[in-house]
Amino acid sequence: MVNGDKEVQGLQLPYKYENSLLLYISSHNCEISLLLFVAIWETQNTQAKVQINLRCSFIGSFLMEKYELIKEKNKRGFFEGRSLITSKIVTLKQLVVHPVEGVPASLIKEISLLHELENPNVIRLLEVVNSKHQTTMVLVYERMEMDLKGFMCIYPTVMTSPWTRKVLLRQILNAVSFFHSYNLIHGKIKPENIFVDPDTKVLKVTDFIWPRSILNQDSGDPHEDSTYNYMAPEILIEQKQYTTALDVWSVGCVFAEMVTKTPLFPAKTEFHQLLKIFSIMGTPHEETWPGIDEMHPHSYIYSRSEPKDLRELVPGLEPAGIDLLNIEVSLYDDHETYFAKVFSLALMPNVNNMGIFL
Amino acid sequence: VKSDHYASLGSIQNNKILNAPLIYQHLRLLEIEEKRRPLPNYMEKVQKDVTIGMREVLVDWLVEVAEEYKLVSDTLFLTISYIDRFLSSHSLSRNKLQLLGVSSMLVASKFEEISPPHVEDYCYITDNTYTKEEVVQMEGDLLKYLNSELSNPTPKTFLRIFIRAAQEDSMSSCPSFEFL
Repeated sequence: MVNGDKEVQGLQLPYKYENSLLLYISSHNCEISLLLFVAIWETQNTQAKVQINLRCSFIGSFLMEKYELIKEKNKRGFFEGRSLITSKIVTLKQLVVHPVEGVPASLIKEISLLHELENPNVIRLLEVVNSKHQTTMVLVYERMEMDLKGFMCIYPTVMTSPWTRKVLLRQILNAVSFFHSYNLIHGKIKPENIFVDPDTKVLKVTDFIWPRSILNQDSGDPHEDSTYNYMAPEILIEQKQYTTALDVWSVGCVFAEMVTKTPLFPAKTEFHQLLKIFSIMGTPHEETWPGIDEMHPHSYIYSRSEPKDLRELVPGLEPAGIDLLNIEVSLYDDHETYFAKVFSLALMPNVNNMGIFL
Repeated sequence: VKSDHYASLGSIQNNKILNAPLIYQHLRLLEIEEKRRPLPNYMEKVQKDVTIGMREVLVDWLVEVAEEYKLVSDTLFLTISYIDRFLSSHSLSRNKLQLLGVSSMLVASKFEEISPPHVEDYCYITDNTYTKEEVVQMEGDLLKYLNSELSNPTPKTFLRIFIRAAQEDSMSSCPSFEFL
């Protein structure tokens, strides 16, 4: 079977999860340094039982003592697991520690901040498990059901209800205002980073990074096409100073997507992203965005277009929602009024204790 | 002292003033948390080999390293708080003290700096007394011991708040405060 210098750990998996795990291993073997896997098929009468022996550099003593893997959650390295001590379902994320540079700086920031941030709509980091030889780290989060992207696909009818949308939006805004009250910018709000429990509709924001790592990407994240779709124009034109308004922009994009099921500004590259935004929100000029000529001297290359009516682009949204969306994705707004407006609209006095704004 | 740390916060400042009492209260609570504090008498209680004088030399040297690599002063304060916390529970031999110093600075700079120096730079500054592997290994031990709770407030955090409060009324900033 397997011979080598490292220990072999047997891991029994229920049959139905076998495909997902194999898929994960084949797509991520380099990244998560799973060195070798052997699948042994044993057929017992009609029921096929699969035993997969994983030999990997990290699932040695540490992780397997405390957690067992259940299945892969999504393609970005998230696993569902179970604590062997409390038998609670948790989410595991494995990360590689660079042999020369040690723990990535972005990870150090994320972990130490997540330790402190305690909010019902922000994912809880339960613990960090290090492997013996410091080659990998496993972050143990509380259970996450499915991301908003998946939720919208699997439950399209649930999403058509204004009630659901309001409940979800309010929770996103709650998380965002919580970050901002800590003087932090999330910087990467998008449906893939938002997790929803389909039954309770409890929503959790994850993948927390510091704004500085937007510019200085050392986290080694694989390029994701959808990243640009939620990026605020001030990042795209490489403005040097960001404000918390960029998260509000992303929330607006997510909000619109919750209604229409498609991104509000779909584009594949940075350039096309700006083009798309300007074609819908209108090309900015000195009057609509003071200082734009200085910040982005080449803005003349974009054809002049007038702002479009969001009511036509996001059909099925009630007037109050349109107002909110208009503020969230407005190209330029003074920071303070931004905040005041969005949060007064979203957290208006007519919010009942179910978290619904009307 | 680099000013761009502040520039990055830019216009969040206004929002900060509204939250100032809350932020201060939070920082105070963090500061008095037991797990974030070193033992006051760890030199006598825990350390067998390391002495107060050695710590003094180490801190002086770290100040120079921070200047050499142009690190913000927060990084330096954090470094020293990590060292003290680690020494509060681990008895270290004197030849490993400098290793703890650079690894702490490595962790602090990764936490605080926009573009932190590389492990190689830290090995170089110790005249290659330690290998990269040793520095990374120590970093892992340190992170494990600190339980990745790295954002403890430092004297610098509070100084900054007090100075801002003191300067609230004056239009021009006092140059002697600028160096803090």
